[in-house]
Amino acid sequence: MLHRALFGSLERFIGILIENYAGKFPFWIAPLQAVVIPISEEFDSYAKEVNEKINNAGISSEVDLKNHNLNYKIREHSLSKIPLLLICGKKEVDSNSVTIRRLDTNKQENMELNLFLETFSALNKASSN
Amino acid sequence: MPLITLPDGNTIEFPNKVTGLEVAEKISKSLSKQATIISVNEELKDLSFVLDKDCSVKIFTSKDKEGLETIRHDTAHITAMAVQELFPGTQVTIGPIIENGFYYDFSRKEPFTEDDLNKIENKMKEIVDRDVPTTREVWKRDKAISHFKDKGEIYKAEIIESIPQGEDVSIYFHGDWHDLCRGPHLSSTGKIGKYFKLTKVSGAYWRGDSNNEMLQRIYGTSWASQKDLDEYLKRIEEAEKRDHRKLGKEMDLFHFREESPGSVFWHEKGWKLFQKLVAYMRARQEKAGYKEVNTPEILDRSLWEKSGHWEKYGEHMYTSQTPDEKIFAIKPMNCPGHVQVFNQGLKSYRDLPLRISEFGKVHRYEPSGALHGLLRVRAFTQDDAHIFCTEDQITSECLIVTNLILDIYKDLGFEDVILKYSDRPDLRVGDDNVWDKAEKALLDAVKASKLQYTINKGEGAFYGPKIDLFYEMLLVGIGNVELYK
Repeated sequence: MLHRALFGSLERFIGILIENYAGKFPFWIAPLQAVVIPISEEFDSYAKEVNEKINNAGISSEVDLKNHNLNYKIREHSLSKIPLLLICGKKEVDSNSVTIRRLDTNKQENMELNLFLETFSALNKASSN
Repeated sequence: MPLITLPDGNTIEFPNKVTGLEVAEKISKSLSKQATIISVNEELKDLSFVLDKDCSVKIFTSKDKEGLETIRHDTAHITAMAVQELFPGTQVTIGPIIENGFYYDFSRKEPFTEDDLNKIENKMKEIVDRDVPTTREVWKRDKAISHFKDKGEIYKAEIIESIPQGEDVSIYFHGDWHDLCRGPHLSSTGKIGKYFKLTKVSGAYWRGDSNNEMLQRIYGTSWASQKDLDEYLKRIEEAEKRDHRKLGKEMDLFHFREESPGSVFWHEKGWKLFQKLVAYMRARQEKAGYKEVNTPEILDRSLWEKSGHWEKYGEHMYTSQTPDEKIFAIKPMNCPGHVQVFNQGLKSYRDLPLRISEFGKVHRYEPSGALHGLLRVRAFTQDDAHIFCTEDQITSECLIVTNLILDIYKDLGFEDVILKYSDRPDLRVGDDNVWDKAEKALLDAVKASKLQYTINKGEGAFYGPKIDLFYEMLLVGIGNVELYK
């Protein structure tokens, strides 16, 4: 009889994963992959709608409707190592898009929502799958 | 006329007795400057040690482990010296070297602050500048006890009291300040250099016993050069940034509580991560022909006696007695449970190989001091599998398993994996001829994997040889493959 353990202990392996990536997990492993942030109350309903579509596409996402300013929210979610922050304002509502801010970059990139869902759903699995 | 033999086999003859330092000077001026301590017939001594008979010696510099350890030991001494100069009335206890540094335990009512550490460090640098010579004296044990008692150093006196009657003790002096110590030490405080840093203060019980007084432990690190110190501090800073306990809190993944040491309280996001990994592995295993089962966490003592765990692994097992006075053990491993499933299910040898897997929660008692966040816990989930196969299938199954594991690691970003093969330990069950076959089958698979591997004699499990998979970048072991009879 052969005994085998892939990770030995899942708990320990998660500890190793965290240290290996310094908390910045590859997209498909990250427990919370995206946070949708409306830039003001006016865009709350669009942000909620975007959040629902993303979750339906199998990407785990939350919408941050708290009463904090955008910079505060970006800092807070960066500390939690959320891979993608999706910023929604007037421009995004008008063009049915999201503005993506990836962890550890200052660059922002606008993407049409359907293209976003398609692109990131494809990334949402192990490379061998 | 001592004849001194050097490590390279060369000899030097001296007309009269000489000190270690004089031998170093004779070899070369630069060596005498860099020398820290000397070994005489393999025993470490101060450079001032007098050689009056034929002997073999080796001179150590700060580049040697022994030399660096002496620097750290001396740094511990001047930490205590600085503390007592700055905070009179503080009692000294013990100050050993540890990996990358040292600590010193003090008895003092007021806690040491960050600011105090800076003051102590500056005082230590001052002591180095003073270049106080080191001298060694040998005292009668009883004289040493009464001396330290008179000084109000009750802890030191207690340590000396535990040394057998009639034995002499060595006392090292750095100027007036002195400490009971086996040595060896550098010849003066100036030799220490200023490449040290006090890193933190924590509590520690006298003699490690929680019934005793709580002392204050100052940790420090000390190196042979500024470059080494800077590199070490940078490494520590980098490791702290990656520390999973810190990140676990920042990312709101999990926490631990005193009421359940070594058991994880998973928060929503942490548990999601956990479940994602399980789902991923479940999918991979299903494709690889595994059958997932689930077996009881609590099983009767008799089963553990039969499996050998009760005797060989008992100290790590949690047990519980039920009202009907039966003794049960909480499983530390899933194997005996899987054997029961196998025995129920096997119809013919044609069913082999049979691959049974389980995400089984196991409990293993570990001393609380050994626990370390998620990396060392008491309760954990093994992604366990057992492959029942014929003897001929062992090597090929082993290779399939190893390749599956490596493929999964690759998905998760762990690419530089090395194998560590371990064979029969002294404490084991089973006949030697069974071990012979088992070891050969496993080693064949290791070789066939074409990965880099090491052979660790005697480090196998009590029931069979094993392969551990080691992730080179973090220097940690991850998965393993073990063979049972």
